[in-house]
Amino acid sequence: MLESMWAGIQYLGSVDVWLLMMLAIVVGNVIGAIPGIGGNFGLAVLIPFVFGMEPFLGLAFLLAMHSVVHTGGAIPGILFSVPGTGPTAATIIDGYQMTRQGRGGQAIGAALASSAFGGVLGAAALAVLIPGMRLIAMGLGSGEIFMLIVWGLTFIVVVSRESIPRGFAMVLLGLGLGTIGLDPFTGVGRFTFGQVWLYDGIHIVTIVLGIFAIAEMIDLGARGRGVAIAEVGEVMRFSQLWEGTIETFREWWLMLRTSLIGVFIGIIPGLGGDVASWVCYGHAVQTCKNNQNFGKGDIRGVIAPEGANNAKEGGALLPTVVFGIPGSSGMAIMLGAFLILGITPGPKMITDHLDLVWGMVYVLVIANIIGAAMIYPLGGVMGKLAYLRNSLLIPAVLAVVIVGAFLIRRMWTDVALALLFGLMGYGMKKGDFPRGPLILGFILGPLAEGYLHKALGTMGIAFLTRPVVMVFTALTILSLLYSVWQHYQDKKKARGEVK
Amino acid sequence: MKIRAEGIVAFILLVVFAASLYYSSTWGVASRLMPLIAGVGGTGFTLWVVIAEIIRARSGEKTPEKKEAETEEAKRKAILKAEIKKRKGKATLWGEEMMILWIAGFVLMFIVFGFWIATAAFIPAFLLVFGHEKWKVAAIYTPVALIAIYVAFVMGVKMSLYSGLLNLVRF
Repeated sequence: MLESMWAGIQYLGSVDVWLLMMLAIVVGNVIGAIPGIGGNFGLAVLIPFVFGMEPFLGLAFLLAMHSVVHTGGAIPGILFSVPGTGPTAATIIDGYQMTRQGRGGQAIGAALASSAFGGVLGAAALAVLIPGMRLIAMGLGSGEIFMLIVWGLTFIVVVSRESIPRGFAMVLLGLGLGTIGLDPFTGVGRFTFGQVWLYDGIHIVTIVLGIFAIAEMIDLGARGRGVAIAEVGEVMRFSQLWEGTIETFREWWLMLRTSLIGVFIGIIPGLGGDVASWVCYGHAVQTCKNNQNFGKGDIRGVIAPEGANNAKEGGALLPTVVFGIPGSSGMAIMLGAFLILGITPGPKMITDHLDLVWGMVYVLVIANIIGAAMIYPLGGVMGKLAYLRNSLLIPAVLAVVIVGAFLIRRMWTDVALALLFGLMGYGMKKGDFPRGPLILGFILGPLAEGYLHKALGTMGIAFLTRPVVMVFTALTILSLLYSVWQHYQDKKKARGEVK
Repeated sequence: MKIRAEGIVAFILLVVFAASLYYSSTWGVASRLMPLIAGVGGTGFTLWVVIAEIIRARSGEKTPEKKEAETEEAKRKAILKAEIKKRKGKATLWGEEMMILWIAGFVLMFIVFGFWIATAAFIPAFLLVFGHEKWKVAAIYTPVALIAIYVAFVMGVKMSLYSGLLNLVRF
């Protein structure tokens, strides 16, 4: 373990790693500050750049970008009431009120300090939990992992509180897409329609570029040329930022609590940043003394969701690297990137590449601290990104998307497929079909199928009687029952029968 | 009776799932297992959404989102969401069709003429026609974007980009 920790530090001895991390932090903050795109989009667009990179370089680049997206995302939310990323929406309630009272700088200072603290705590939690999880992961066989994936997929839909049928439909669509290509066990071509280029299946990057990047570009373009969405700009003074930072550390107990909640939510597959920030905002309102100012510009309403947003990334990495089961759609895309870089997450990663995992922990810590520190002098400039016109953003993004889709296998058919997935993704966005579960289903489907074949091959159907498998089966059934109960409660709530 | 996008998407997915079930019916059990799980489950869930949408449309019932917004707990969220939506603007059907045509045109040009010609044509055309940007913006933006991509991918990652079916420009 100590050797791995040391080997992880050694990765950071390279100048290339630092340069790429710095670039990724700037890009992550910028992507966060541009309203309407967000972290998944950022990952989708940046994946093409990691082709051919050394594994750790690629990992550091993507992880640094992804971990600071929400830090930058708070700025347009606080200044203009337009969240840069979905999860920063909860920050707006009090953050924007503070701006209207002339305390926008203070709110941003609080958001930065809280984000950095949350991110570092998330990384620390990952470091603390790895040894224990390593033992668990090494004790799991094929049958157990198969059932764990099944439970994970069920749980993702159930706890995400999206519409249950739509969520499951998306997971199953992902599973179906994952079967395209030659069956690795029988050699039968599945859904290839006689096309040789489909024999290797569809690449995760093609799907991600389509359903996130192209779909978002269609949406942005459909809104028109794009106009300045802000009415007033706030000139931030450093003294205000500093006041906000100091105030945040005075509320250290709240920051610690909400960051820990964020870590916990991150570990649970499927809950994601939106849930983390709203849950923590609610927690702050319920537990803080003198809570009458929440919603009217209380700095604690900024501290709580911002810490949770960044803390959850460390938590979400845990199931991703230990079990190969992503904790969020962002992590599912990251998992796809791992595969491009030649790294297979899961129990083997913990045993064979523990140094990489430790390297990721360090990247999380560094990126969160530098990502927040960078905004202190640049916050005012970054706030202006909210004025960026769609017409300037779209062509550059589309060019990178096309390059990315092509470079996967150097076939134009992948570009055409990405366009098709873009149309699908836009339809899903319009129809409120969650896109995250599709990615999770696509990534986990082939894994589940592989483990199922192995389990059946070694033990036959009797693998279902193994104690751990039975526990996961019971959890799956309980999750489904809970979803039915929840659905029923929601209906009653809507009818006004339940308070 | 007005069917929302949700219902239309669900119906398309229903057809896809049903077709996948039919298509995979001739394969052996081992190959068919996962497509069968996806197909049967997917057909069931999308059918559920389609039926729910038809019932909602026929009865003129409010959407679940609207219902939710009526509860005290969600009012604040709903107000915030409405404010954000207002500021971001609204996607129009015409805008969607135009945008899809622009992207499809870009992809088609990419396939025929390759990356460099397609991008050199698409970026200024998009900026001037769709974005109503000044020609000076297009004149600066286009070469900067092309050079950035060249530096990042051709020089950085050392990969040549697609030269198209016509194979006119190769680098």
